[in-house]
Amino acid sequence: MNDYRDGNNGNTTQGPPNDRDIPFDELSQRAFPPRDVWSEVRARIEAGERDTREFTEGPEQRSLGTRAGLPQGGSSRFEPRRSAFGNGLLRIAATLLIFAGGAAVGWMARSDTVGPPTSVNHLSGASMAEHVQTAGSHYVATLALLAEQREELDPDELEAGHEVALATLSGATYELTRLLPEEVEPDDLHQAVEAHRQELEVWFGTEQ
Amino acid sequence: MLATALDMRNRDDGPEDLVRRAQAGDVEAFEALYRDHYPRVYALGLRMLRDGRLAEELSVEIFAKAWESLGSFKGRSAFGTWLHRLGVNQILNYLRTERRRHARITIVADLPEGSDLREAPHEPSERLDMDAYARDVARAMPDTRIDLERAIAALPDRAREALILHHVEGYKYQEIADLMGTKIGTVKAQIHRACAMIREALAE
Repeated sequence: MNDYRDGNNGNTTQGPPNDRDIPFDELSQRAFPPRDVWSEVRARIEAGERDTREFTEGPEQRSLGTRAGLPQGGSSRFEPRRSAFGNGLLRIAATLLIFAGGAAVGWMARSDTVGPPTSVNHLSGASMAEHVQTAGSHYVATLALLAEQREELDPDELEAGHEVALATLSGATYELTRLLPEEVEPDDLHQAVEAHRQELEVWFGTEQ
Repeated sequence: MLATALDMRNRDDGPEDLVRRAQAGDVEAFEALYRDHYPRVYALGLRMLRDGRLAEELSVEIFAKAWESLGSFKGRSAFGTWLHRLGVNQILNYLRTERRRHARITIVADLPEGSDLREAPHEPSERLDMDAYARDVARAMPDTRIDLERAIAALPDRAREALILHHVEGYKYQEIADLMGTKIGTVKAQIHRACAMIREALAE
């Protein structure tokens, strides 16, 4: 057994004993790759990894990411960064804000500039992502405006904004649980947002 | 410059030394690490992804990521262990993303308008060209048991991934649960189910 194996094949305390009849030890651990990919690895090393978020996020999300402590682009070569696919809760949280779109703009700005898509069938993945980004940017920008003006606003109006922002976030987290049914983080976030909402006095009463 | 290159060749090139030099930015040292570990990383990718070309592409990603993350390697485990775990994470992330993408494609392409979008995710395993995969495996791993490789490749995706991580790569159930973002009971059940299916396949 080589040093890759953190676990224990045929583990007597964990492994089902009847698994030993399958000859897993006859499987090769090393391969002879048909092609040497070092030149590609080297090219990647020399080019350095580009920060794709530069192309997929608007300034509002980047700004939010900065405030939330998310890793920023242009990191040093040996600084560990989060996976491009984003596993962490912070990343998920930022993603949620990207997904929270049309409803927030509609409720808070009473504007029709960003309407939700009525059907997904005519939209490509890229155009849906673009739509979500635009709507999410509006959502975050409006929240930022609300936060900046919180001292000047009527307390009731501020509370309304808070309530609507949470309701939208709750909707977004719910949709994210549907989008990523195999992952636990979206569900945890949805439960957390919902729990927070329940704790607050409902400003809108039954009008929602 | 020539003297420097000669010096590098004359050094003790043990794994720790190579890692230390690579951490300091020495690409040649990193190439030596790549040469030591690529066969193992490729084998992992080939089994998990069931596609030789994809295994090569992910290997590039894994080594590029390893170079980028070398600063976080503190030597608490062997470099191979660290690299292997990084590779498993990269591959699982890729597979997760692919599943999501296929689920979305299924939603857009196959479902009538107004359908409930919460359909079961598409199983990429349905698309496997088993003969092509078996050829890839036989070429890359001539000593392996092809009938067992085929039986493993035919398993449902998550059961296959859990089984490979446990029975081939030696990860513990809890580690697999953490890596796959699921519960230990689910992992055990998947592996149990996978073994039953393999037994059935080998008995045919």
